[in-house]
Amino acid sequence: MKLIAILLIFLGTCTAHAFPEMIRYGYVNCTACHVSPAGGGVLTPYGRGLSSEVLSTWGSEKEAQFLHGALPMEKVQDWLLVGGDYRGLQYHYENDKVKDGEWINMQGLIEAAVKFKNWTLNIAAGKFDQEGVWTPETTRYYVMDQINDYVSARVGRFIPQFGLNIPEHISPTREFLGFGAYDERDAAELQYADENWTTTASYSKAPSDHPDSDETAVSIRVEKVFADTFKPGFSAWRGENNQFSRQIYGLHGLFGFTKKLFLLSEVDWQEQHLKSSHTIQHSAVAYQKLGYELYKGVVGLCLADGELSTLEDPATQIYHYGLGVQFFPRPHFEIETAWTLEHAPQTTSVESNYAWILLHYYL
Amino acid sequence: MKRIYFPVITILVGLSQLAFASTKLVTQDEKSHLEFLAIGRPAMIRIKGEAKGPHGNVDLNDGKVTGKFTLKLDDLSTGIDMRDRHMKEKYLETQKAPVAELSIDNLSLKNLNKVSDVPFEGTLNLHNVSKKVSGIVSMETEGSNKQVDANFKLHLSDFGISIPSYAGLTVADEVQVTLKIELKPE
Repeated sequence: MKLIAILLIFLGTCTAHAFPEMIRYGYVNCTACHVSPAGGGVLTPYGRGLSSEVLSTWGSEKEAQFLHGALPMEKVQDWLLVGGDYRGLQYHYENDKVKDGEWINMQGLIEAAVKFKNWTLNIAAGKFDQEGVWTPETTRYYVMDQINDYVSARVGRFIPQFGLNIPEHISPTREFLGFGAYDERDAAELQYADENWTTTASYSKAPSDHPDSDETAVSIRVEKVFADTFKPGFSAWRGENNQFSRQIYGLHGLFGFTKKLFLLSEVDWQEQHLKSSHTIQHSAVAYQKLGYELYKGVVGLCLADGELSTLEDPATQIYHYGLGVQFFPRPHFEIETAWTLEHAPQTTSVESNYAWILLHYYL
Repeated sequence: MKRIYFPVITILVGLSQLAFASTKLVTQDEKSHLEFLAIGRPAMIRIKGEAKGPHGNVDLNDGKVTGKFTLKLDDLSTGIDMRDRHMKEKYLETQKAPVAELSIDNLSLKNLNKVSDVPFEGTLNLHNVSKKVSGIVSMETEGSNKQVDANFKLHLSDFGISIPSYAGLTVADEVQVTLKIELKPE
């Protein structure tokens, strides 16, 4: 299981319940398709419409509804939205020392959002533990007030917004920095979003059982839309707990070059002061995803990510690059497969092969 | 006879000068392009539509510009089929009003070779409703052709068009229109 955990960290891409690359169609903010301003989770009725109309190769508007349209949710969707995700992954990892592969249940949750006037209550429950056993644990919840067209505020337990809100939660820009799977924190967030600017400020505290235990942090992210489909941004984070204090600065961008070609890019730099040893450690992480829609619902991907956990020590580098394909045959279904090469000198002197196929189903 | 010919020749020369001062230009439709940008709220969706064209002509007469341009609204595309269907069938109602027409009412150019950000006024017929619109125009000359960029804003409600709304998102009343037109001598 330890090996699996390590491999999952190496995995460059895995899930897809949010698609910031939709910026290529002019969707500059997540809230067109998702209840959460950070993206992911429960879909809005508009998001369900887009899942059949834009994302999927085949399908109908009704089919994209909750439970494939089996329930007349349109009667309650003004105040109740329900969703859920399951995703599982078969991986293959091979180098001169190891040859391995296994099916892993990665995510299984039910999520609901109840709306009353400008207020929204969102709760997500369910997770697979390290042994692959599902438990109905509440993982994410918040109360949000959409104060007006531009300003929203939310309080609860969620991952504060930093950099790209990509669903690949185990990429270095997420997992390494403490924004990966089940890294939700007790947080308060204020966001301003108009057609050109999005600014988000957050205050958060990590739970005691979090890897960054009890870290209190303030963060800000500023993004600007250019030419309708380009959205570069800047993020800053300042956090502290009993073990360390740290600051993170990052640049990221969503670039829709055409309606078919897009690039997601993020580079972050971290300075961490370890209090026990009075040492300062510098790190850098990067994530790049270049995609081209070959056919409606079929997206070819060029993937690259990397981390340098100690800038002063090149041996700590781990990077991956490779090719992949995303396929959305019908609403509710996603299949993603990729093959990457891994360079991790601390593990092995040769490049490792890493391939996987991901199945994702959302209610 | 000389006394008779002289005034006739003078009049003919004068008429030809008048004709020279007036130039008629027509659009090169394949090199012309229309775009619009509408914002959908609350998610601030940027809905960008485009179409080839418009088709039309202008008269340049001593710096005064008049002309008409027409666009088949069924040619508009936003890149998403369902959105296009809604736009044309439910809001623009292209079955009833298939064409938009822009007439240039008031535009004066001091320089016929190159101008930038000159205000203009026109009349837009859209959805079978005519309303005054105003904007700015820039023009450059390449050989005998002229490249024209024009921008103006319109309000859907002015033209009796329902404010588009779908699944919780509502399009703003104001729409930005950009015309990129290439004109050639007729």
